[in-house]
Amino acid sequence: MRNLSCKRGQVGGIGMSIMAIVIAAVFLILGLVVLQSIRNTDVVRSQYTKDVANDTLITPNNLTYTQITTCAATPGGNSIAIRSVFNASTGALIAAPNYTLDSDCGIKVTRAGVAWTAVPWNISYTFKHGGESWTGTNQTLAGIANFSDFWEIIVLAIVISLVIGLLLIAFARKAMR
Amino acid sequence: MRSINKKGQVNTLAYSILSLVFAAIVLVFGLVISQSLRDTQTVGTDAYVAANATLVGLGTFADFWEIIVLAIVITVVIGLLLVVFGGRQGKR
Repeated sequence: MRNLSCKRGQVGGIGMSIMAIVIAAVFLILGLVVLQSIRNTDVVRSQYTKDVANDTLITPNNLTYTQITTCAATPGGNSIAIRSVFNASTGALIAAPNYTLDSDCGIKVTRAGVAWTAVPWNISYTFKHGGESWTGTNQTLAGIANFSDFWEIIVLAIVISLVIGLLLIAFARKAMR
Repeated sequence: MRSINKKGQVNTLAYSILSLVFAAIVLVFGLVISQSLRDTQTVGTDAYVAANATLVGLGTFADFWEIIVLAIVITVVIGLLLVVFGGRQGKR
């Protein structure tokens, strides 16, 4: 039997195969980074401004950011600017130091155990959001990111072709003798 | 049996992904430009309606990336397997 690592065996090709999938993976990751950067630019993500009056937020808390309804439901919603916040049960004004906002659509109570946790809030605010281009970019990013689910299958196919190739070389030569 | 790198599809993977990413970036810029052009028009005018329909139609391309990705993966995997099994049959 000839040396499997040279002319006819599959072992010699595995280095090139691995190099090929590594290069492909690098291209994929760079592409995803570029697409994500494009999606998050102001031109795509924050092109429009929307004004919302009395959006009801159910039970905000001091542990995690709760998504404000209309902003969270709008494609690319971000950068909320609060105009007013009221306790929906009592109608009492909730002042700005009692809550914090994140860069998306989240709001969180700053202190535990205060009267305005675990009660509905009415929030009036403006926020920025994207349009069809943001939706398309986001779908494109998600679609291309699906590729990463298939690396295992591709690697498996390379290994299978390598192993079966080796076996076929070995047994075919014996049969020919 | 020939080497994987000659007839296999692994070497085309990097080019396929590069093409895919390039196409995606072109599509995204196309959507951004189309949206910007649409927004220059008054809502309800013929130009706005047509530009909006174009933008929405172009945007549906984004729904098909998963299928395109799947097709590339299937091509690579079946190509690899054909190198092994198809190669033997061809020699008989």
